[in-house]
Amino acid sequence: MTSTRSMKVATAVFKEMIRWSLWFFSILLAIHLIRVFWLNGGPAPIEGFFTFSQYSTSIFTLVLGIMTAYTFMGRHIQQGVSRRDSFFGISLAATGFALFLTVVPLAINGLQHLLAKASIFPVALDTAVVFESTAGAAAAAIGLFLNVLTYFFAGWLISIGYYRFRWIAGFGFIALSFIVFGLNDYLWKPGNYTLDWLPYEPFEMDFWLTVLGSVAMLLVLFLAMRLLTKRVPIKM
Amino acid sequence: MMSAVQLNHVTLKFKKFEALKDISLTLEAGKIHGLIGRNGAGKTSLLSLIAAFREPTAGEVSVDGAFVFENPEKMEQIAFIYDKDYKEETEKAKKLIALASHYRPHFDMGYAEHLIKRFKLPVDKPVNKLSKGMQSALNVVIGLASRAPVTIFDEAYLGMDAPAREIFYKEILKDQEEHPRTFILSTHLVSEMDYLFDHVVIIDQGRLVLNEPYETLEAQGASVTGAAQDVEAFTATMQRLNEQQLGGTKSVMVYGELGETKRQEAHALGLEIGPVSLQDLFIYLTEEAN
Repeated sequence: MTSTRSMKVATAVFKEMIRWSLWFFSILLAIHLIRVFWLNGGPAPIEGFFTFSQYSTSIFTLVLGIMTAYTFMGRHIQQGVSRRDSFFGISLAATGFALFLTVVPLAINGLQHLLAKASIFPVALDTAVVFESTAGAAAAAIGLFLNVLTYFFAGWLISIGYYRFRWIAGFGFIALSFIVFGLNDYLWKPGNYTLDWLPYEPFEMDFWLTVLGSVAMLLVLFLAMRLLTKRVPIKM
Repeated sequence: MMSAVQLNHVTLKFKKFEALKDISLTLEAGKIHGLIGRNGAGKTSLLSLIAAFREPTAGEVSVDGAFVFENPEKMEQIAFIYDKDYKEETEKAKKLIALASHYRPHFDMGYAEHLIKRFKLPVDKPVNKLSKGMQSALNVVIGLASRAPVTIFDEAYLGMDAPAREIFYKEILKDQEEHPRTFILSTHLVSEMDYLFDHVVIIDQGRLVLNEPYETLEAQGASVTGAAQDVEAFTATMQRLNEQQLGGTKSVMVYGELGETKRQEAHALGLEIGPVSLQDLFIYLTEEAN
């Protein structure tokens, strides 16, 4: 499935994403430390870095996804890369990057957990419970990984909508992305889901069923993006 | 490394507007092809099809016999350099050059560095902070150093001053001698660039008007220079493209082949016969088509 050319794309895009994420994590960590040391609001425990960064990380990848069609795709075709290699390369880079975005907060969270034992923080940190609906770091990591990747593809869906079909149809793609967010919430945030037209049957009883649902949604997004980028004319 | 480009009955439509109308032509490998046309003639549309930026509505575009669109082996052989809008590009120039070297299999970084020095390109500056001329120089550096078997420059000189354009033209000729490839140069500056061309393609309103080797263009017309009255009489029945007069001397560009009898007649009258200029031919052919 992946050619040498796709790997070339994946390497370049992944490096670019890592470069941007260094800024993102630096700022996020600074805000978190300000919250821990100065704006901790009293003796009640506050969330560790993993929980603190989850929402921002998803939004960050959504933004990266939105930038994808305009930043990467045209650049690739201009450098003689086919749409197919560009698509698979970007998808591979996004998967690797989602893994990176999962591992880094988890590692910082783990470090905080160790430091908390040494009592260096002025407030108690809730670093053990990293994901509300499931237990354990592995489940939390899988959840974050799938969420981040879903947000990236949702962003990419919006950008290809605007890139290929311009403004009015672009709004339609925003609406599609809201359906994706709704389904994602339905799967991962029981009690906080936004699709009131679907019967609510909590999935936390079976974590792997949730994962399966999330993976299925990602596959649909992946196929949709391939179809939308397959023959797209490049803007000049 | 050079490749031939073929267009076979190519049509391109944007909704109801037909940008290219049934164009068939072959651009021979290893030659410098000049693509000339007025504004909106369809030059960029044609080039964007060769570079696989879009698909033709009908017909086929191929390189060395294989279709270009979504063909990774062929696409990486084509470099399409055009007047890109860089106002949102905050990366440094050296980053874009490095990116081209990452993707282009024949990229020559040593040559890129030579060109950077020749154009005095400030590679540490963000691209959107470069002057228009320097942005064009960056495009030219990437295009030339990519050494793609098919290299397309679409009005790549925009914003460059005369000395920079001269460097660009000289580098094309020099590199073509050492590393021959197929160049397609699309331009408005016909009189400035015509000496570069081995072959000339003129399109107008989406149609192919002329597709000839540069040498044979001389036979399409002539310049007649001499005493104003004699030139006037000699060219009276001919199709005039252009005329200039300085004192008693007149020079008239005429369209159509001058036979041996006519040449001898001109010689007897003391008139000088020279080649027709591509610029005059271009103006005439595109006006005639209109």
